[in-house]
Amino acid sequence: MSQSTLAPAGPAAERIATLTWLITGLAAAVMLAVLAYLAVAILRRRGLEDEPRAVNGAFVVGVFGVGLPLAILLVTFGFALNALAALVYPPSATRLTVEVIGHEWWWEVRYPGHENAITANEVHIPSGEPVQVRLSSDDVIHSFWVPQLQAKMDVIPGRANRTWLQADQPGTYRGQCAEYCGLQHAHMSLLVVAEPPDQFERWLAAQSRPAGPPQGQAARGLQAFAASGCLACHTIRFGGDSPGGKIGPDLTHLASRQMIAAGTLPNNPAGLAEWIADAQFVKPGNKMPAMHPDPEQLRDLLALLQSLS
Amino acid sequence: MAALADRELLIKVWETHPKALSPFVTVDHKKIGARYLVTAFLFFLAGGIEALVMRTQLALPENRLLDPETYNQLFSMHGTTMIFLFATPILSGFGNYVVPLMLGARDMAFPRLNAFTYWVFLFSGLFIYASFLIGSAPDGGWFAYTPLSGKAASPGPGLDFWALGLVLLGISTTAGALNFIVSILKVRAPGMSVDRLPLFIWNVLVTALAVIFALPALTLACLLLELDRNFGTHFFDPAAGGSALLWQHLFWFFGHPDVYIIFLPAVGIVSSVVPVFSRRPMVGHTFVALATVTTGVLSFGVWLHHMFATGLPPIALSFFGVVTTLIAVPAGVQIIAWITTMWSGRPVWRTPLMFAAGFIVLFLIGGLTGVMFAVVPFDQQITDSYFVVAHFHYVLFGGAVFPIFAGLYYWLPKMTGRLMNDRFGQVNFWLMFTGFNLTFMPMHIVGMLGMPRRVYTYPTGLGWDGTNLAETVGAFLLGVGILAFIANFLWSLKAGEPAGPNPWFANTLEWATSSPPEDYNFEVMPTVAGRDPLWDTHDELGRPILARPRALQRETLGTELLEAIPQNVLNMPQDTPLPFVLAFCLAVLFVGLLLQQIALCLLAGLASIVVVGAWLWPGKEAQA
Amino acid sequence: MSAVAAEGRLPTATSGDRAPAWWGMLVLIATEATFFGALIFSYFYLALDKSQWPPAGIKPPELARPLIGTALLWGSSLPMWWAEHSARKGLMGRVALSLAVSMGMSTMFFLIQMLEYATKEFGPQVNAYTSIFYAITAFHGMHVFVALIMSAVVQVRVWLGHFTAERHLAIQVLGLYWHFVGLVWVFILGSLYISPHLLQ
Repeated sequence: MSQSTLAPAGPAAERIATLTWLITGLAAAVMLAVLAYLAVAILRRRGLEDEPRAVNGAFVVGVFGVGLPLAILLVTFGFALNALAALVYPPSATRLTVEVIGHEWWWEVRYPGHENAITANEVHIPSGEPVQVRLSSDDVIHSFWVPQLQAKMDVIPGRANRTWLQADQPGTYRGQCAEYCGLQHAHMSLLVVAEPPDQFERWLAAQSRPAGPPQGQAARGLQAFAASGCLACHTIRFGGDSPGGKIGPDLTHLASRQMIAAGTLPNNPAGLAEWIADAQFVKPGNKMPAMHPDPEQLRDLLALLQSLS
Repeated sequence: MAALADRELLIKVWETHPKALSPFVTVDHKKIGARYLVTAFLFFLAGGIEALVMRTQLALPENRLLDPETYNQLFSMHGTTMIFLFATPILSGFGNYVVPLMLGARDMAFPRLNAFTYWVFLFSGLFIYASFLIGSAPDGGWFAYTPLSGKAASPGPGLDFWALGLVLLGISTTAGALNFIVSILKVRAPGMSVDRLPLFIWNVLVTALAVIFALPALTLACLLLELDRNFGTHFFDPAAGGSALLWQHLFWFFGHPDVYIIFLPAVGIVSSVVPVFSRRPMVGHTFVALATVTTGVLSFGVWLHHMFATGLPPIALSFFGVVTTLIAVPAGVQIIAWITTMWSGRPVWRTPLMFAAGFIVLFLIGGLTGVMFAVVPFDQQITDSYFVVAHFHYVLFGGAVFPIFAGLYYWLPKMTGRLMNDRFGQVNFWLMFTGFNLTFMPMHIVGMLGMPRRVYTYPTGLGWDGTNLAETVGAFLLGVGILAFIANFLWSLKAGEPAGPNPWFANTLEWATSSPPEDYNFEVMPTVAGRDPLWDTHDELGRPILARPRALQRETLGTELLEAIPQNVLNMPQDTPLPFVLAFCLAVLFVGLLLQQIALCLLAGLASIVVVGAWLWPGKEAQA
Repeated sequence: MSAVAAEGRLPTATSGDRAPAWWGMLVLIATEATFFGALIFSYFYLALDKSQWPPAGIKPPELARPLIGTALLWGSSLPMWWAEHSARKGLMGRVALSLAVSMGMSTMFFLIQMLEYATKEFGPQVNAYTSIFYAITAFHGMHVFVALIMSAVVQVRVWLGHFTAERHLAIQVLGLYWHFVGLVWVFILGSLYISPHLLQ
């Protein structure tokens, strides 16, 4: 998994990566030239009683301090303006909009037009086409950053910001909140999963379905879920009116996600167990208390959660 | 005979009481300047320790040395300390000590105000650090974005310490800037016309003007934040019509000029050191002075570049992108001027020049990454990552701390009368230069690899691990370098060679005094006929001016604005405890605001008004 | 040019632009003006993304009383100017009188502002508009209050006979501050009171 700006996987990040190499090269060239000048100034042989060299200060400073830098800078600005114009809008019309809502310290993901598709910390998009992303925040400023696909865009309460994403190929791309947002800013990651369009449609349809009624151990898990107070923050939608809170992520399709706790732990029994037992140890200060279920309860809960595909 | 009596009288009129109360009553700019230097340096050490603790936590992925709350407080205090309690005040310290001497005056225009600014600075630093005592240091970062810094997301008192502490400090910084401006305009040596002003003076003047026009935005922002947090207002509350971004506009309108407020005086030190140690006047002196002014003016037109990722319209992004690009030009002018001065001169490789050369290298790198950031799409990808942490440390540490060390090695001998060990100084330099680069150069890479800033830990497997470890090693090496400086300084006090008045064969007026200077600075007020008074050959100083004080009165010369023609004799104040008392009253007022104790606030406010009245009430001569 | 003057020929009195304190007051005015500028910027910035400003439910400010207050405030600059003029002539009686008139007019402005606050249909805690409205007017009010205190102190000094035709720096410095406080009100009146009526 990579979060590198220099491993672009989509047109926006590629454009920026090319620009990055260009301006880095330019900056390096200027740096070497000036350092060479400095080296010469330091190492130049002088006799003990040499008089200072006469210098036409106005000329030297005027040409090399003003003229030449200004020329280089205007070229740089030209590149910048060019790239900015190219990146404001996606390369083609977008069919799909994703809505991402920033919370302390997780990402809520919704799909306008598919009101029942609600997930967290994992954004699925069809590969090979641009997707609009609408950004809003519930509490403080966050920043939506998936470096392999796009520049970051701040997520600001009271402000409707937008960005767009396009992944050229199917794959999983890691992102992370990029605006300090409090205690667990360091553990507010997300995944963007790009899939071939038909696979994406199937995923979206599956996310829009309610959870199937739990059987056997999973059913006992649901009882434990309700009894332990999980419903105060989480919701599992079984169709019709499902009770539950919205403080934490919607868990209806938890098992379909690769990671939990906003990219902190893998979504497997070990990870789930660690999280449920003591979320405060994993992510101190986050809004889920340590639950410390007894082993029987834990097994039942795991059965439930793993059934929510 | 008469000359001796003059000198004795001067000593008597200008001496500070040697009693135990002396620190609380002196108005001598040299003592105040020295205090600023020491206090600011202690805050530097505090900020440095905060950094080392953080770097230890970050040495390994998913480290558990620090919990997130502690880490977040540390990085917030580190930034706040370094910018507000170290960099700005230490450069005030140099300004305080050197400016009157360099101008050929006996003190600043407002000596009591000067003393006041130091005490307020000290109290504001203690105020902010008191938050550690209750385990609730500010944790909003050094720029405390709303709504995170609002009451809902940050209910503890940390941000109140921060906001109120900065308002209190702002009073000191503003008063100090006012003092520098009026002093530079009005108490220069006769003949020191505008075109003969030393470059250090230009830099201090532009800095002070920047403070006057930038600081109100911060003060306002902090006051509005306090009102939102504790008095139910809604400036930054989107749910009630407020704006989270309003904070950012106000903060960065101050914040960007602030980095130049730190950078310009440091540049002034470099522009003092380079000609002296190259043994020739600055090449392109006029260009360099103009570059300083241009930088100061342009610094007010770039603040939006801190907000490129907030979703603003492209036209705004383009405008601020171009101005940000252009501000590199005056910086380039100065770099070319310095190097050309060295190239065409006969450099003497003493420690001050080495730190100045090190500064040029580091500032060049930081400035170039700054130009990269002016390219908006690049900024939008890379801001808020470790790449920007690298950038601002190159321009702030490389661009201000290295010159500060140059200034320390340059001017401490004037202040203490003892030279520091030059060999050991060079060791000091290389330790710092190597340690600094090892710490901060890799951050460019790890930022490009996607590591965000302000994270108390990071996962393994993203390619960030080894780099972080190397950065931690570098940080400790840098720390050793700073210890080396302290050792050198302490050694010099005991065993350093006596400096004499002008150990560097320098060109400006402060080197025409003894080391350390007498309380009255100049027995006979100097006059000036060129840019480099101690290098120009000109007539002997004219007839004695102000050699004989009038009726036990402290005096200096008031001169006209542009040509520095002498206009009048200015009476300078005697030692007084009023500055300390007023600073104390203000500190109590702010404690009252912090604790929301109205009675305490009213009492302290009333006391302040009374003290100001006593301060401004004319002395025995009852003159206006 | 002889850059040297024997000390016997240089005056010790300072006045106008020969006085550091005069320049100090100018610098103080510059920084305070910037503070007001930032406040007024905030007022308009908060309005930017709103369809209505003041927001729905709040009427644009009434103009009658504020305009009377404005006349008094700006009017008070005239006797203040007269005070400086008389001081230059050494006519301290006139100085005392015109200072008192000036102070009286400004005090009435201050009282009108207090009355405004007492009868306002909203407090500062309702929404962002009310918060910024009070912030700006209160900050200006504090400056008026400070001007009044300064004026009172200078008045006492006039009675004590501290000033002469050549030396009356405190009156000059007071004048600068006084006129500044009046000038700032131009921008506040225009932004807070008049612009809502124009932009509706």
